[in-house]
Amino acid sequence: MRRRRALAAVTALAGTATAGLTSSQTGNDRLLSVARTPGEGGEASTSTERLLPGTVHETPLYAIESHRDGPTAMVFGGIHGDERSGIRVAHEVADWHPDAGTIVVVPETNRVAVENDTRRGTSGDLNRQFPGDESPTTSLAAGIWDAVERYDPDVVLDLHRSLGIYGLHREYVGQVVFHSAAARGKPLVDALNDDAVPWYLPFHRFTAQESTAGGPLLFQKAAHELDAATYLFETTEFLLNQATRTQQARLVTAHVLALHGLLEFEQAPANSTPSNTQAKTAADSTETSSETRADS
Amino acid sequence: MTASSDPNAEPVSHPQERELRTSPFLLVRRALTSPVTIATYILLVVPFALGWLKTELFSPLALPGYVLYSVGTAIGNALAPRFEFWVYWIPFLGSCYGLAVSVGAGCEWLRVRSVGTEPEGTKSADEQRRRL
Repeated sequence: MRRRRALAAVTALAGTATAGLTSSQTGNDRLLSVARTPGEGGEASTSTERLLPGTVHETPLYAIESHRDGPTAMVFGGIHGDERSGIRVAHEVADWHPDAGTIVVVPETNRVAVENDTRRGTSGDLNRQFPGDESPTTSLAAGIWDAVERYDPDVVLDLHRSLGIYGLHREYVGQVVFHSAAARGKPLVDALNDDAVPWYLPFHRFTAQESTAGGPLLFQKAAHELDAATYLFETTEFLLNQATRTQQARLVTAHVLALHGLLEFEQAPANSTPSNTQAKTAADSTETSSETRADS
Repeated sequence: MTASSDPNAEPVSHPQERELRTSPFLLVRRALTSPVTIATYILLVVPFALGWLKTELFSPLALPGYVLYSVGTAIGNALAPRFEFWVYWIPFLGSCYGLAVSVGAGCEWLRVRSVGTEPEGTKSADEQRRRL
Protein backbone atom coordinates (compact mmCIF):
# COMPACT_ATOMS: atom_id res chain seq x y z
CA MET A 1 0.00 0.00 0.00
CA ARG A 2 2.81 2.37 0.95
CA ARG A 3 4.60 1.62 -2.30
CA ARG A 4 1.44 2.33 -4.24
CA ARG A 5 1.02 5.70 -2.53
CA ALA A 6 4.63 6.64 -3.17
CA LEU A 7 4.19 5.68 -6.79
CA ALA A 8 1.04 7.84 -7.01
CA ALA A 9 2.85 10.80 -5.47
CA VAL A 10 5.81 10.51 -7.83
CA THR A 11 3.47 10.16 -10.80
CA ALA A 12 1.52 13.25 -9.72
CA LEU A 13 4.75 15.23 -9.33
CA ALA A 14 6.16 14.16 -12.67
CA GLY A 15 2.82 14.69 -14.40
CA THR A 16 2.33 18.16 -13.10
CA ALA A 17 5.90 19.20 -13.90
CA THR A 18 5.48 17.90 -17.44
CA ALA A 19 2.10 19.61 -17.79
CA GLY A 20 3.62 22.85 -16.51
CA LEU A 21 6.53 22.77 -18.90
CA THR A 22 4.45 21.84 -21.93
CA SER A 23 1.67 24.34 -21.26
CA SER A 24 3.81 27.33 -20.24
CA GLN A 25 3.49 30.54 -22.23
CA THR A 26 6.19 31.16 -24.74
CA GLY A 27 5.75 34.93 -24.93
CA ASN A 28 6.04 36.57 -28.30
CA ASP A 29 9.50 35.92 -29.71
CA ARG A 30 8.62 37.42 -33.06
CA LEU A 31 7.66 40.78 -31.58
CA LEU A 32 10.71 40.86 -29.34
CA SER A 33 13.00 40.00 -32.22
CA VAL A 34 11.52 42.89 -34.21
CA ALA A 35 12.36 45.16 -31.28
CA ARG A 36 15.90 43.87 -30.84
CA THR A 37 17.03 43.73 -34.43
CA PRO A 38 17.71 46.69 -36.74
CA GLY A 39 15.03 47.15 -39.38
CA GLU A 40 15.45 47.64 -43.12
CA GLY A 41 16.65 51.20 -42.59
CA GLY A 42 19.70 49.95 -40.69
CA GLU A 43 21.01 50.61 -37.20
CA ALA A 44 19.25 53.25 -35.14
CA SER A 45 21.45 55.98 -33.71
CA THR A 46 21.70 56.22 -29.95
CA SER A 47 22.68 59.27 -27.96
CA THR A 48 23.19 59.33 -24.21
CA GLU A 49 22.81 62.23 -21.83
CA ARG A 50 22.95 62.59 -18.07
CA LEU A 51 19.96 63.92 -16.22
CA LEU A 52 20.61 65.98 -13.09
CA PRO A 53 24.40 65.95 -13.64
CA GLY A 54 26.60 66.56 -10.65
CA THR A 55 23.89 65.54 -8.16
CA VAL A 56 23.24 62.30 -6.28
CA HIS A 57 20.32 61.77 -8.68
CA GLU A 58 22.49 61.82 -11.83
CA THR A 59 21.15 59.16 -14.15
CA PRO A 60 21.53 58.28 -17.83
CA LEU A 61 18.91 58.87 -20.51
CA TYR A 62 19.17 57.08 -23.86
CA ALA A 63 17.56 58.44 -27.02
CA ILE A 64 17.40 55.86 -29.82
CA GLU A 65 16.45 57.45 -33.09
CA SER A 66 15.26 55.56 -36.12
CA HIS A 67 16.03 56.67 -39.69
CA ARG A 68 12.33 57.10 -40.30
CA ASP A 69 10.17 59.80 -38.83
CA GLY A 70 7.62 58.72 -36.31
CA PRO A 71 6.34 59.27 -32.81
CA THR A 72 8.51 59.71 -29.73
CA ALA A 73 8.00 57.26 -26.89
CA MET A 74 9.48 57.67 -23.42
CA VAL A 75 9.98 54.61 -21.22
CA PHE A 76 10.71 54.94 -17.51
CA GLY A 77 12.05 52.29 -15.15
CA GLY A 78 13.07 52.65 -11.52
CA ILE A 79 10.74 55.43 -10.43
CA HIS A 80 10.38 53.05 -7.50
CA GLY A 81 13.85 51.68 -6.83
CA ASP A 82 12.83 48.20 -5.65
CA GLU A 83 10.78 47.31 -8.73
CA ARG A 84 13.51 45.48 -10.58
CA SER A 85 11.61 44.10 -13.55
CA GLY A 86 10.96 47.58 -14.95
CA ILE A 87 14.56 48.65 -14.38
CA ARG A 88 15.90 45.58 -16.12
CA VAL A 89 13.59 45.94 -19.11
CA ALA A 90 14.31 49.66 -19.43
CA HIS A 91 18.03 48.82 -19.62
CA GLU A 92 17.24 46.29 -22.36
CA VAL A 93 15.19 48.84 -24.27
CA ALA A 94 18.30 51.02 -24.54
CA ASP A 95 19.53 48.38 -27.03
CA TRP A 96 16.30 48.09 -29.03
CA HIS A 97 15.87 49.38 -32.56
CA PRO A 98 12.73 51.33 -33.44
CA ASP A 99 11.53 51.03 -37.05
CA ALA A 100 10.21 54.59 -36.90
CA GLY A 101 10.43 57.52 -34.50
CA THR A 102 12.45 57.77 -31.33
CA ILE A 103 12.58 55.75 -28.13
CA VAL A 104 13.75 57.72 -25.11
CA VAL A 105 14.47 55.56 -22.09
CA VAL A 106 15.46 56.34 -18.51
CA PRO A 107 16.22 52.99 -16.85
CA GLU A 108 17.01 54.23 -13.33
CA THR A 109 14.82 57.27 -12.90
CA ASN A 110 15.20 57.40 -9.12
CA ARG A 111 18.82 56.38 -8.98
CA VAL A 112 19.30 56.67 -5.21
CA ALA A 113 16.28 54.44 -4.60
CA VAL A 114 17.53 51.96 -7.21
CA GLU A 115 20.94 51.77 -5.56
CA ASN A 116 19.36 51.30 -2.14
CA ASP A 117 16.79 48.85 -3.53
CA THR A 118 14.01 50.82 -1.85
CA ARG A 119 10.72 52.22 -3.11
CA ARG A 120 11.51 55.78 -2.07
CA GLY A 121 14.61 57.83 -2.63
CA THR A 122 15.94 60.76 -0.63
CA SER A 123 12.79 62.83 -0.88
CA GLY A 124 9.88 60.43 -0.70
CA ASP A 125 7.83 58.69 -3.34
CA LEU A 126 8.91 60.11 -6.70
CA ASN A 127 5.68 59.08 -8.34
CA ARG A 128 3.66 61.49 -6.18
CA GLN A 129 5.71 64.54 -7.10
CA PHE A 130 4.20 65.51 -10.47
CA PRO A 131 1.05 67.50 -9.69
CA GLY A 132 -0.97 68.63 -12.69
CA ASP A 133 -0.70 72.30 -13.68
CA GLU A 134 1.98 72.86 -11.04
CA SER A 135 5.74 72.53 -10.90
CA PRO A 136 7.13 69.19 -9.75
CA THR A 137 7.60 69.25 -6.01
CA THR A 138 11.25 68.09 -5.73
CA SER A 139 14.48 68.75 -7.62
CA LEU A 140 14.57 65.13 -8.85
CA ALA A 141 11.02 65.34 -10.19
CA ALA A 142 11.81 68.72 -11.77
CA GLY A 143 14.87 67.27 -13.52
CA ILE A 144 12.84 64.36 -14.88
CA TRP A 145 9.98 66.60 -15.97
CA ASP A 146 12.42 68.92 -17.71
CA ALA A 147 13.57 66.00 -19.89
CA VAL A 148 9.96 65.01 -20.57
CA GLU A 149 9.12 68.52 -21.74
CA ARG A 150 12.20 68.68 -23.96
CA TYR A 151 11.39 65.43 -25.76
CA ASP A 152 7.65 66.18 -25.80
CA PRO A 153 6.71 62.49 -26.15
CA ASP A 154 3.64 61.18 -27.93
CA VAL A 155 3.72 58.06 -25.79
CA VAL A 156 4.85 57.55 -22.18
CA LEU A 157 5.25 54.17 -20.48
CA ASP A 158 6.09 53.88 -16.79
CA LEU A 159 7.04 50.39 -15.59
CA HIS A 160 6.08 49.26 -12.10
CA ARG A 161 5.51 46.19 -9.92
CA SER A 162 2.95 45.64 -7.18
CA LEU A 163 2.75 43.00 -4.44
CA GLY A 164 -0.82 41.81 -4.96
CA ILE A 165 -3.51 41.82 -7.64
CA TYR A 166 -5.90 44.65 -8.36
CA GLY A 167 -9.48 43.72 -7.44
CA LEU A 168 -8.37 40.65 -5.51
CA HIS A 169 -6.17 42.24 -2.86
CA ARG A 170 -7.57 45.50 -1.63
CA GLU A 171 -4.32 47.38 -1.18
CA TYR A 172 -2.58 46.43 -4.37
CA VAL A 173 -2.73 47.30 -8.04
CA GLY A 174 -0.90 44.43 -9.76
CA GLN A 175 -1.77 43.10 -13.23
CA VAL A 176 -3.24 46.38 -14.41
CA VAL A 177 -2.39 48.80 -17.19
CA PHE A 178 -3.53 52.25 -16.12
CA HIS A 179 -3.78 54.52 -19.13
CA SER A 180 -4.85 57.94 -20.28
CA ALA A 181 -7.93 58.58 -22.39
CA ALA A 182 -5.82 58.92 -25.54
CA ALA A 183 -4.04 55.60 -24.99
CA ARG A 184 -4.97 52.17 -26.32
CA GLY A 185 -5.37 50.29 -23.09
CA LYS A 186 -7.83 47.62 -24.21
CA PRO A 187 -5.93 46.30 -27.26
CA LEU A 188 -2.77 46.44 -25.18
CA VAL A 189 -4.07 44.21 -22.40
CA ASP A 190 -5.68 41.86 -24.93
CA ALA A 191 -2.32 41.36 -26.63
CA LEU A 192 -0.56 41.03 -23.29
CA ASN A 193 -2.99 38.44 -21.97
CA ASP A 194 -2.63 36.42 -25.18
CA ASP A 195 1.16 36.45 -24.90
CA ALA A 196 1.91 36.37 -21.22
CA VAL A 197 -0.92 34.98 -19.11
CA PRO A 198 -2.00 31.32 -19.39
CA TRP A 199 -5.72 30.57 -19.04
CA TYR A 200 -5.18 28.61 -15.86
CA LEU A 201 -3.99 31.70 -13.97
CA PRO A 202 -7.26 33.64 -14.33
CA PHE A 203 -6.65 36.13 -11.52
CA HIS A 204 -3.42 37.19 -13.25
CA ARG A 205 -5.12 38.39 -16.42
CA PHE A 206 -4.37 42.04 -17.04
CA THR A 207 -7.09 44.66 -16.99
CA ALA A 208 -7.05 48.14 -18.49
CA GLN A 209 -8.06 51.00 -16.25
CA GLU A 210 -8.48 54.49 -17.60
CA SER A 211 -6.99 56.96 -15.18
CA THR A 212 -8.07 60.52 -14.54
CA ALA A 213 -5.56 63.06 -15.81
CA GLY A 214 -4.19 65.69 -13.46
CA GLY A 215 -3.09 63.44 -10.60
CA PRO A 216 0.39 63.62 -9.08
CA LEU A 217 1.80 60.67 -11.03
CA LEU A 218 4.23 61.17 -13.88
CA PHE A 219 2.02 59.45 -16.46
CA GLN A 220 -0.97 61.52 -15.38
CA LYS A 221 0.93 64.79 -15.69
CA ALA A 222 2.26 63.81 -19.12
CA ALA A 223 -1.27 63.00 -20.29
CA HIS A 224 -2.68 66.19 -18.85
CA GLU A 225 -0.05 68.67 -20.00
CA LEU A 226 1.42 67.11 -23.12
CA ASP A 227 -1.65 65.28 -24.46
CA ALA A 228 0.43 62.16 -24.70
CA ALA A 229 -0.94 58.62 -24.73
CA THR A 230 0.36 57.44 -21.38
CA TYR A 231 0.51 54.09 -19.64
CA LEU A 232 1.46 52.93 -16.16
CA PHE A 233 2.14 49.22 -16.14
CA GLU A 234 1.87 47.17 -12.94
CA THR A 235 2.90 43.54 -12.80
CA THR A 236 2.73 41.62 -9.52
CA GLU A 237 4.97 39.67 -7.19
CA PHE A 238 2.03 37.50 -6.18
CA LEU A 239 2.90 33.97 -7.43
CA LEU A 240 5.11 35.31 -10.24
CA ASN A 241 8.88 35.04 -10.12
CA GLN A 242 11.31 37.71 -11.28
CA ALA A 243 11.78 36.14 -14.73
CA THR A 244 8.03 36.14 -15.40
CA ARG A 245 7.58 39.70 -14.19
CA THR A 246 10.46 40.82 -16.38
CA GLN A 247 9.00 39.01 -19.38
CA GLN A 248 5.65 40.71 -18.82
CA ALA A 249 7.30 44.13 -18.59
CA ARG A 250 9.30 43.36 -21.74
CA LEU A 251 6.17 42.34 -23.63
CA VAL A 252 4.13 45.35 -22.55
CA THR A 253 6.93 47.66 -23.67
CA ALA A 254 7.19 46.00 -27.07
CA HIS A 255 3.41 46.02 -27.52
CA VAL A 256 3.14 49.71 -26.61
CA LEU A 257 5.85 50.55 -29.13
CA ALA A 258 4.15 48.41 -31.79
CA LEU A 259 0.68 49.82 -31.10
CA HIS A 260 2.00 53.36 -31.59
CA GLY A 261 3.97 52.63 -34.74
CA LEU A 262 7.52 52.59 -33.42
CA LEU A 263 7.89 48.90 -34.22
CA GLU A 264 6.62 47.38 -37.44
CA PHE A 265 4.72 44.40 -36.26
CA GLU A 266 1.45 42.84 -37.15
CA GLN A 267 0.00 39.94 -35.27
CA ALA A 268 0.22 37.20 -37.88
CA PRO A 269 -1.96 34.13 -37.95
CA ALA A 270 -0.42 31.05 -36.38
CA ASN A 271 2.40 29.37 -38.34
CA SER A 272 3.10 32.32 -40.59
CA THR A 273 5.88 34.84 -40.38
CA PRO A 274 6.00 38.03 -42.43
CA SER A 275 8.93 38.12 -44.80
CA ASN A 276 10.36 41.32 -43.38
CA THR A 277 10.73 39.80 -39.96
CA GLN A 278 11.70 36.29 -40.97
CA ALA A 279 15.44 36.95 -41.02
CA LYS A 280 15.26 38.83 -37.75
CA THR A 281 13.38 35.99 -36.12
CA ALA A 282 15.86 33.40 -37.27
CA ALA A 283 18.81 35.46 -36.10
CA ASP A 284 17.28 36.23 -32.76
CA SER A 285 15.47 33.07 -31.81
CA THR A 286 18.55 31.50 -30.25
CA GLU A 287 19.25 34.59 -28.20
CA THR A 288 15.66 34.85 -27.07
CA SER A 289 15.35 31.30 -25.91
CA SER A 290 18.72 31.33 -24.16
CA GLU A 291 17.75 34.52 -22.36
CA THR A 292 14.47 33.00 -21.28
CA ARG A 293 16.37 30.07 -19.80
CA ALA A 294 18.81 32.39 -18.05
CA ASP A 295 15.90 34.36 -16.58
CA SER A 296 14.35 31.26 -15.16
CA MET B 1 -12.11 -26.08 1.74
CA THR B 2 -12.95 -22.75 3.38
CA ALA B 3 -16.13 -20.70 3.01
CA SER B 4 -14.30 -17.96 1.14
CA SER B 5 -13.00 -20.24 -1.56
CA ASP B 6 -16.14 -22.32 -1.91
CA PRO B 7 -18.43 -20.74 -4.49
CA ASN B 8 -21.38 -22.77 -3.24
CA ALA B 9 -20.94 -21.74 0.36
CA GLU B 10 -23.97 -20.41 2.23
CA PRO B 11 -23.97 -16.60 2.66
CA VAL B 12 -22.88 -15.73 6.15
CA SER B 13 -24.18 -12.69 7.97
CA HIS B 14 -21.81 -11.35 10.61
CA PRO B 15 -23.30 -8.80 13.02
CA GLN B 16 -19.80 -7.56 13.84
CA GLU B 17 -19.16 -6.92 10.19
CA ARG B 18 -22.32 -4.87 9.80
CA GLU B 19 -21.28 -2.85 12.83
CA LEU B 20 -17.87 -2.28 11.35
CA ARG B 21 -19.43 -1.07 8.13
CA THR B 22 -21.52 1.59 9.81
CA SER B 23 -19.28 2.53 12.73
CA PRO B 24 -18.84 6.33 12.63
CA PHE B 25 -15.41 6.03 14.20
CA LEU B 26 -14.20 3.72 11.48
CA LEU B 27 -15.72 5.87 8.76
CA VAL B 28 -14.04 9.02 10.11
CA ARG B 29 -10.73 7.24 10.47
CA ARG B 30 -10.95 5.94 6.93
CA ALA B 31 -11.99 9.35 5.59
CA LEU B 32 -8.94 10.97 7.21
CA THR B 33 -6.44 8.59 5.68
CA SER B 34 -8.11 6.91 2.74
CA PRO B 35 -6.27 6.78 -0.61
CA VAL B 36 -8.91 9.08 -2.10
CA THR B 37 -8.23 11.68 0.61
CA ILE B 38 -4.50 11.51 0.11
CA ALA B 39 -4.78 11.62 -3.69
CA THR B 40 -7.09 14.65 -3.50
CA TYR B 41 -4.71 16.40 -1.12
CA ILE B 42 -1.76 15.73 -3.40
CA LEU B 43 -3.68 17.02 -6.41
CA LEU B 44 -4.63 20.21 -4.61
CA VAL B 45 -1.24 20.97 -3.13
CA VAL B 46 1.55 19.55 -5.29
CA PRO B 47 0.86 21.20 -8.68
CA PHE B 48 0.25 24.54 -7.00
CA ALA B 49 3.35 24.23 -4.81
CA LEU B 50 5.47 23.54 -7.90
CA GLY B 51 4.12 26.69 -9.56
CA TRP B 52 4.71 28.65 -6.39
CA LEU B 53 8.35 27.54 -6.38
CA LYS B 54 8.82 28.29 -10.05
CA THR B 55 6.20 30.14 -12.11
CA GLU B 56 7.04 28.17 -15.26
CA LEU B 57 5.82 25.00 -13.53
CA PHE B 58 2.27 26.27 -13.17
CA SER B 59 -0.03 23.99 -15.14
CA PRO B 60 -3.76 23.42 -15.57
CA LEU B 61 -3.49 20.89 -12.73
CA ALA B 62 -2.60 23.76 -10.40
CA LEU B 63 -5.86 25.59 -11.05
CA PRO B 64 -7.83 24.25 -8.02
CA GLY B 65 -4.97 25.03 -5.61
CA TYR B 66 -4.39 28.37 -7.32
CA VAL B 67 -8.04 29.39 -6.92
CA LEU B 68 -8.14 28.22 -3.30
CA TYR B 69 -4.93 30.04 -2.36
CA SER B 70 -5.84 33.24 -4.23
CA VAL B 71 -9.32 33.43 -2.72
CA GLY B 72 -7.81 32.70 0.71
CA THR B 73 -5.34 35.57 0.34
CA ALA B 74 -8.14 37.85 -0.85
CA ILE B 75 -10.21 37.09 2.25
CA GLY B 76 -7.17 37.32 4.51
CA ASN B 77 -6.05 40.57 2.90
CA ALA B 78 -9.51 42.07 3.41
CA LEU B 79 -9.54 41.06 7.08
CA ALA B 80 -5.89 41.70 7.97
CA PRO B 81 -4.13 43.64 5.22
CA ARG B 82 -0.67 43.67 6.74
CA PHE B 83 0.13 39.97 6.53
CA GLU B 84 2.57 38.86 3.86
CA PHE B 85 1.14 36.37 1.40
CA TRP B 86 3.35 33.43 2.38
CA VAL B 87 1.52 33.36 5.73
CA TYR B 88 -1.56 32.05 3.90
CA TRP B 89 0.17 28.77 3.21
CA ILE B 90 -0.87 27.59 6.66
CA PRO B 91 -4.64 28.03 6.20
CA PHE B 92 -4.23 26.89 2.59
CA LEU B 93 -2.76 23.54 3.62
CA GLY B 94 -5.44 23.17 6.28
CA SER B 95 -8.29 23.94 3.91
CA CYS B 96 -6.84 21.60 1.27
CA TYR B 97 -6.83 18.81 3.82
CA GLY B 98 -10.38 19.70 4.85
CA LEU B 99 -11.51 19.49 1.25
CA ALA B 100 -9.61 16.26 0.69
CA VAL B 101 -11.23 14.72 3.78
CA SER B 102 -14.66 15.79 2.52
CA VAL B 103 -13.99 14.09 -0.80
CA GLY B 104 -12.60 11.03 0.99
CA ALA B 105 -15.61 10.88 3.32
CA GLY B 106 -17.96 11.17 0.37
CA CYS B 107 -16.25 8.28 -1.36
CA GLU B 108 -16.31 6.18 1.81
CA TRP B 109 -19.99 6.89 2.29
CA LEU B 110 -20.75 5.92 -1.31
CA ARG B 111 -18.72 2.78 -0.95
CA VAL B 112 -20.35 1.67 2.27
CA ARG B 113 -23.76 2.45 0.81
CA SER B 114 -23.08 0.39 -2.26
CA VAL B 115 -21.88 -2.52 -0.11
CA GLY B 116 -24.92 -2.16 2.13
CA THR B 117 -27.39 -2.20 -0.77
CA GLU B 118 -25.93 -5.28 -2.40
CA PRO B 119 -28.25 -8.26 -1.96
CA GLU B 120 -27.20 -10.43 0.93
CA GLY B 121 -25.28 -13.45 -0.17
CA THR B 122 -23.92 -12.04 -3.39
CA LYS B 123 -20.54 -11.67 -1.76
CA SER B 124 -18.92 -13.96 0.64
CA ALA B 125 -18.20 -12.65 4.13
CA ASP B 126 -14.51 -12.71 3.44
CA GLU B 127 -14.89 -10.56 0.32
CA GLN B 128 -16.97 -8.03 2.18
CA ARG B 129 -14.41 -7.88 4.96
CA ARG B 130 -11.67 -7.25 2.44
CA ARG B 131 -13.61 -4.38 0.87
CA LEU B 132 -14.05 -2.76 4.25
